[in-house]
Amino acid sequence: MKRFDCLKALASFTAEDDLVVTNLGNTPHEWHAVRPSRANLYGFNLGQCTPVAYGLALALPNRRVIALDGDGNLLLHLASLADVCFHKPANLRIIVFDNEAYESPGGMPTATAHGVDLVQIAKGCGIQRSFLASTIEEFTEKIKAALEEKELCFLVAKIETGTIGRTEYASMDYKFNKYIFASYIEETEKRPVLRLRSKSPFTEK
Amino acid sequence: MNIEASDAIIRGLKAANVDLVAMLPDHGFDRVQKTIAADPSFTFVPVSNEGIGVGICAGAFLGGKIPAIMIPTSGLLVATWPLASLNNLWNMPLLLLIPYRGDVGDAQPVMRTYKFTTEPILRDLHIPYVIVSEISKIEGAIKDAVASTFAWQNPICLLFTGETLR
Repeated sequence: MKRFDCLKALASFTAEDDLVVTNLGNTPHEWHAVRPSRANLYGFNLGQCTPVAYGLALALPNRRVIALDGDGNLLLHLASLADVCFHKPANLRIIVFDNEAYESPGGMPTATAHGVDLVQIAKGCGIQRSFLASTIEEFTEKIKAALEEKELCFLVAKIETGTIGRTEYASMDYKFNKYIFASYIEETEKRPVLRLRSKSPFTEK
Repeated sequence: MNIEASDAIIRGLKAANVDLVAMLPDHGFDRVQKTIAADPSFTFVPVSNEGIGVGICAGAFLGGKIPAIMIPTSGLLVATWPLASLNNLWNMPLLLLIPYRGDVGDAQPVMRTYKFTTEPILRDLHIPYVIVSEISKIEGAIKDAVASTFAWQNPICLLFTGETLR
């Protein structure tokens, strides 16, 4: 199964206002190719994709938040699966593309290549709706169901290594991505995010 | 931390409109952490690792929350990775509240390390910090730090010591 095929399937089920948070590596390029959007946050480094998505889900309980994480990225902060279960936000979906490798830095195996089962770990943490997909048919079925449900879901997609030809995507400059996303949230949620100010409290009357 | 200092922190957080607090338990913040956990005006987010808490606060900020993280002095060492690769690269605001264990006068051998790590790490991470040693200064320090963390889109840290920790 290829990640790009999974992302195309996912994009066919997502709503325009779904917020999508990706890890670093090839996923952001591929996701941007199938769903370029101001509602995307691209490229969180090791251990930070799922925590950022969790924080976003807590802040915006009426918006669906989808984390596109990877096995190596999640493993650094594996305890984030335990922490997510304190609130179990019903609007959060965590998808892990598991290629059993640290592909970007050269392809050395991750712990999942040695039999570590992320689905069982998620279940053990308390995420009851935790699934494995090994074929594109399974992925399509599971992700459609996960998006229709009103419950925290965790889905591991076993994928091959490899990626599409790298495309230009909007925001490899993270600050640029932040401002695009924040302005989108301010506009659609009618609430302040950046809270920038032009005057100092020291000089305000 | 005594009850007056704990109450001042809660007042400061509310005055600054902080509405989400991630935390890892710490002896110095025991009372204030339990108060926050029980107060519905805060989204209380316990974490197992300070680095996870930093990521959660970044996501909460992007969703419109005003987040803070309360972590032990030792936890700053754990949090350095996301503070560098997330807050620094993305210019993410964050209020960090840390009891300054190991400050001069906190005469316990096990805490000595933190005198040599805490302030240099904050400087290396380009995180401005204020050392708060008087209870009467707590509330104002929190309000100032929240104003600056958003104005600068950069983390700000408050280190609590002296009278505030006794």
